[in-house]
Amino acid sequence: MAKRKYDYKRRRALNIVWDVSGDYRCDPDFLSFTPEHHEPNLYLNAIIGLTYKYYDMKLLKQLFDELATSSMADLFSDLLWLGMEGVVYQKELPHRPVLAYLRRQQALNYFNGPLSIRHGVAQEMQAARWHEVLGEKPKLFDPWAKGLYQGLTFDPNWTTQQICDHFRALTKKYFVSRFLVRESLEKVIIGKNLGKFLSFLVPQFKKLNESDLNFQVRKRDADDVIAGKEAHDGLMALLTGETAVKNYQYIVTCFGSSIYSSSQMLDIERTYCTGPHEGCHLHFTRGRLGSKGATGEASRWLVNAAKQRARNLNYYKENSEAYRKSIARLVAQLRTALQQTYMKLPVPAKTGELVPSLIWRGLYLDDERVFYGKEMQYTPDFTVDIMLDGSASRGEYQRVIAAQAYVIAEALRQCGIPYQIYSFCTIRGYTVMTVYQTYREKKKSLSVFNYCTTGWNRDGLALRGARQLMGDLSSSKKILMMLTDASPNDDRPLRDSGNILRTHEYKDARAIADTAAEAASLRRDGVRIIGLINDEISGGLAEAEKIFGKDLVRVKKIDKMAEGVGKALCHQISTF
Amino acid sequence: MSLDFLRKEGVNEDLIKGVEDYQKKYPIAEESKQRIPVPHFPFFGKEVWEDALSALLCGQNLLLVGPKATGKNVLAENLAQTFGRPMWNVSFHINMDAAAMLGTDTFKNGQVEFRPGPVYRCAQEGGFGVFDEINMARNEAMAVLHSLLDYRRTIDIPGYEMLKVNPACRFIATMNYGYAGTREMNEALMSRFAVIKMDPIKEEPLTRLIRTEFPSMKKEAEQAFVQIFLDLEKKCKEAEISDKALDLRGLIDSLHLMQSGLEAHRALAMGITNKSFDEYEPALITDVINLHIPGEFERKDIFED
Repeated sequence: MAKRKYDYKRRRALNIVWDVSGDYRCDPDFLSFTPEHHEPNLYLNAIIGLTYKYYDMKLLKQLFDELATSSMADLFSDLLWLGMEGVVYQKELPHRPVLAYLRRQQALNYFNGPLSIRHGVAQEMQAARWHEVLGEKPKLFDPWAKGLYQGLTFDPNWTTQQICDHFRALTKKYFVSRFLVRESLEKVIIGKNLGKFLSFLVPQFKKLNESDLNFQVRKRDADDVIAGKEAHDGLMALLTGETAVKNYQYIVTCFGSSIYSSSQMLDIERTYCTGPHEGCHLHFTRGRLGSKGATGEASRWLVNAAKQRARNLNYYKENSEAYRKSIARLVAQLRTALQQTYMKLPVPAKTGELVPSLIWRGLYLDDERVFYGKEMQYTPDFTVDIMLDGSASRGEYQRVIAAQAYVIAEALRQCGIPYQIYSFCTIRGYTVMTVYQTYREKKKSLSVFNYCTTGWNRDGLALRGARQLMGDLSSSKKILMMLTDASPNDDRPLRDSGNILRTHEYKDARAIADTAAEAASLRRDGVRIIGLINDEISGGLAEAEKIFGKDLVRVKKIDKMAEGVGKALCHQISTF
Repeated sequence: MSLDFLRKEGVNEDLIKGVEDYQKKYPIAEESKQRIPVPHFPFFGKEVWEDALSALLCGQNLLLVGPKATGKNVLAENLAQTFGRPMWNVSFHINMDAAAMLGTDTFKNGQVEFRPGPVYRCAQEGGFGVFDEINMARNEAMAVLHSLLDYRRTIDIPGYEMLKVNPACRFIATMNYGYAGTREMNEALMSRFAVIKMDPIKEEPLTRLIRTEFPSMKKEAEQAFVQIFLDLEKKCKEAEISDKALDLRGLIDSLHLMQSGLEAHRALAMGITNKSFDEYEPALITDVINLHIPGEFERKDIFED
């Protein structure tokens, strides 16, 4: 909850910056919050936005970065912001008269605020500014302070470069230059502790990295692709020596126990692991995190899976603004489409479709309700299944896929549409279906961030697994959304239906044909299938089209995802 | 709008002449005059006026496409009044079906009677039919209108006679497009309309609109309220807030409240902010308002008189 609140406060502060800058793409390094309640500061965030509006932020950012290397980084950045406040105020005032009122409010709030923050040079300068705003004397007595304050009055006609040069000269003149101090005097005159103390003097402007909720974009770590290729290689090495029992134990240890009893699993395998998938296995699980009790390769996989969850979550938070907008757009689209699901129920009415058998009521009972009218009733009689390809080939895009699945799931949740999410991968002959959320669960689908790739992908068998998880196909309408690269591939062979002794490799055209046949079979039973393909796949979509036909969405950019997915989902909903 | 208004807007004189000829050619029956709309707001925008008049004078149906608060319905009302035709407005919520548009059977005095619907009456009396939010209609509901909207200009009501559409009749459809939550319109229907894409209201026409409605408003206040609306529009387009707050009528209503003496922030809360029931959205809207008008902004600060 605290995080959510914090996110919201940051969003509000950002919105203030965007309001005045007019630029919703800008991602400011600075945001301002009130010292006591940490609410977004309307005036100071407006100043940040106005700085974006009037000045070259690239140059200013360079200067801020340069100042950040000083032991008095916060002091200098506060002083620079104070200078910017004065100059952007003058520039904007003719266009936004309310600024005078807001500035005065800021001044009053400053003096009504906590005394504890009013220490140090930056605060002295700030107090002088707010005194002036209130029509009082700046109350600076020391010539050094007077001079510095004077120097913080920037000329509105200066360019960004001129402001930067002026400020550099100002810090050199009034503080021992960091260039001189750094190696020698800093340790004596402005030692690290003093520097820290100065930084501690609660600046009004907080640096972006004020908490771990703000993330800088990080380069992908070398071990980014966990489980995927490593597990795949491990599998190849293990195939020769492992027994079936050990394989099963490995699957249970890595992915968690089955959600079905042994006898149920036997029935399921008898039903689904037949024909081209003869000799293969299915495993349905709620997943597992933590490596307690696991050893060897399984332990490494579980540790890496936990790390991957953290990476998935971090990635989502880094891009949360874009994904939040995607959710909002998708919700709006779905809500419109949902209106299509109102059902018409015939009821006796005074107008509408004439019912001859009721006419006697009109003639003899004076009851004019001899027609059938239509009463609309909201019946969301469909469910959505989101199935993620969790094979090693998706390893590089795990974070993106998890985030995309979360966006779709969250939009469905907000619209009250029952949905479930699961991923599939094939390892040691088992096509493992990891269920993150079922139809009955109403909470946010944060467990989808457990998504972690490994092994092969036997898509045809996975579609059979999805059929099992969807339950009774006649009880409600079903939409299956499959996030995949449409490139099925497994080390276990594909049985030839014409000759049981003949096998083929499960890859390329044969695997595509098998997957397309399973998709067609589901379609025949009334399931609508949508393929969601990330743009990272190479080449065209010809193979994917064989499986999904026209119900295919290629996601090129995050901000376009909602549009594509929304359109596809809405089309399915409106044509039920 | 009067033809003088069109001349002031700088609309092509040939088109104005065309409207005059149309009015002479299709005189209005006395009993239909009460249905001629009297728009509350004039529509500003020379190019849009010219496009719309051209299409209607050529006997075409008009589709006005644009996001919320672009003045689609205001233009439709203005057009009906300019041509001097009675207007029937059909709002295409999802429940609208063929019977609700064309008419339905009723039982009176022991007999089944046909009760004409708004589209039937409009076609019969040569009115202007406005199909509001046409993209919200079910395809099967709209299919019955195909013969009405294409070159055939007829409606065949099963069990009753075929109606030939009065030559003075025109249909104007509106649809919201470009914002989240809007739907595509099917191609067969789209092909029966001349389309005008309407941009979100710009600063200049919005200022003129407010000035027309509130001539005594101070320039500074006028600018602030215009900017509030434009900022909300941008915020809405960026999906930071829903389009509930993007309510031009709400803004105008708020200004009326201010004129009657209510403090500005409270009036804007009633007209705009309180229309959002989201947990956080109202604060974002309030921030926009606070970035343009000071606290305790009162009637005397806003109006000259």
